[in-house]
Amino acid sequence: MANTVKTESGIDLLQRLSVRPKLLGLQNEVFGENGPQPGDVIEIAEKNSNLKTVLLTQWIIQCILPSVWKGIQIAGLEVGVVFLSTDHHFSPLHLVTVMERRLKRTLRKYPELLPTSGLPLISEIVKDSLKRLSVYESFNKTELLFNFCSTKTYILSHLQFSVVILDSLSAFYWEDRLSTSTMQSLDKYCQSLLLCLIEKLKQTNITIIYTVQQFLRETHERQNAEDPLLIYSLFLENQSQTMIHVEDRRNATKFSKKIEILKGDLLIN
Amino acid sequence: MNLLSESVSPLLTKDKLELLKSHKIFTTLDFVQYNNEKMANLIVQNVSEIIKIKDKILASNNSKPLRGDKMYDMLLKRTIMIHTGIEIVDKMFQGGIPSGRLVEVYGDSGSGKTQLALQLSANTALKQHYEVCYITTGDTNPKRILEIMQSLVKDGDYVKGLERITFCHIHDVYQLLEMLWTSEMKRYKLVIIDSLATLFLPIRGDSFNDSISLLNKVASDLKRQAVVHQCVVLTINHVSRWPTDGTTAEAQGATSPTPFLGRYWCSVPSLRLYSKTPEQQPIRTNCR
Repeated sequence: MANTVKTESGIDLLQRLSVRPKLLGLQNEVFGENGPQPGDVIEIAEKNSNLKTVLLTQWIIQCILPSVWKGIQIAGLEVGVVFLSTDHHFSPLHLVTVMERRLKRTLRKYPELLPTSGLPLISEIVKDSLKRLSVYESFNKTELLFNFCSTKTYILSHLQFSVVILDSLSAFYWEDRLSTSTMQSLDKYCQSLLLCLIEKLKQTNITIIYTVQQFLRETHERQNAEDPLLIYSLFLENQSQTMIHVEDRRNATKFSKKIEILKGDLLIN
Repeated sequence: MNLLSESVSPLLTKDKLELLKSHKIFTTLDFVQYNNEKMANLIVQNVSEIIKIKDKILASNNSKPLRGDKMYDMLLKRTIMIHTGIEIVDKMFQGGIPSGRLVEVYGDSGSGKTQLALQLSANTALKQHYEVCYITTGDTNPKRILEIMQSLVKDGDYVKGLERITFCHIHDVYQLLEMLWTSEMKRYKLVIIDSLATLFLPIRGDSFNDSISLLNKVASDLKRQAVVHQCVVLTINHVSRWPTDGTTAEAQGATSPTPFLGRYWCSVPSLRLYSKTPEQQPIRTNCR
């Protein structure tokens, strides 16, 4: 009779027993009622980067806002977000502007608060929410790889983070092509870089969202590629009409929805 | 990223370094990416010691996250607005161009791109007292700047204003890249490149992929300049005319001017200005 003893390191035990906050209600139109599951990998692709940073800003706001603040329903997810910035279109100043706009709209439902404590309340909420966001800035691939390692230890020690966003995966592809001797296609490059990130974050069971700029990538090549890691594949189109094409690999469904741009916010129908 | 050596940590003795090299771990990046337990078994150290060395390497590479609220406070303090000195344009930008951005001005030759750049330099140096670096590929006439300054302010300290502007003549992209890495660049609040398109003219004809690679490198370094030193980087671009999608060879009428540096470059700047000669609408912006 063989007794096999299973062992795991302290970190694995901690990760297995700890639970990260869920992303329930993040863009129901795309991810369904339950939101993305822990460990899901989501890709956002676009031809000309206009909309993906706007969409990501909206999602970040939804994640970091509190659900309730001093009795007021804010309906945020109250989870932590780690943002890895490579093409630097993301601006915290713009994020705060959009957040304040959204909070003003929410507070209008509570006329007893305005005009006396409206603005200080908004800045309190903004300050609290920003504590749930952490940003890494990278200006080349080496820095990005170091930041991946740093992200891993940072997430392991802080359990409030539920999602890691990388904007964008393909930012350094062309300059790296210049320096390496082997010519890698955009797909292979993105795959290998993404694998680096996923390997590191495997233990943490965290949701990963990354963006890719589909500058030269052919759409027919993309569909043939084997991607066992990817759960959701989103494609934003802004040519003749503004639409989002979603491919849900878990449920093997594909659907498209129209996007309306109302006062700077993207509304998915 | 450095090569692994004893200076990284006293625990990494020569024989341990040799052992690591035999497992293809040469640089600090390789070390940091290697699994903790495997590393501990390999060089006979505690996992905690390994983690300490890794933290030290990450710290020396400045690889740490910036919390949102601290980043926001820092940006509020460090962000400056560059005023153009032209009321209508400043109104369009709600005060001015915020720092930390890469801005592009493109248009036909003679449409006023260089004039706009000179105007910006003059205004920034004279009225806002910021240092300006004007990188040029052609001949820029400093007298023109003096004329602009004189039109902006009646009896200003023109000498001091002109002293704040540094003109650099460069002949190729590599000179630009070298310049961007010097420590002097941190004192400039406005960096103008007139024009980026000219630097790429000799390269565009060659291998398409090589020119994009170089463009990517330039884009990363310009963004680093803008973000890390919180300045505005303004690049001047020419225009190439391409038929709009869907038109046949016969229908030559509809051509839409597109920035010269190609489709890849279109997604790089945060703000793009299109200048046209005075018969039509002067300035159109495209902001993200």
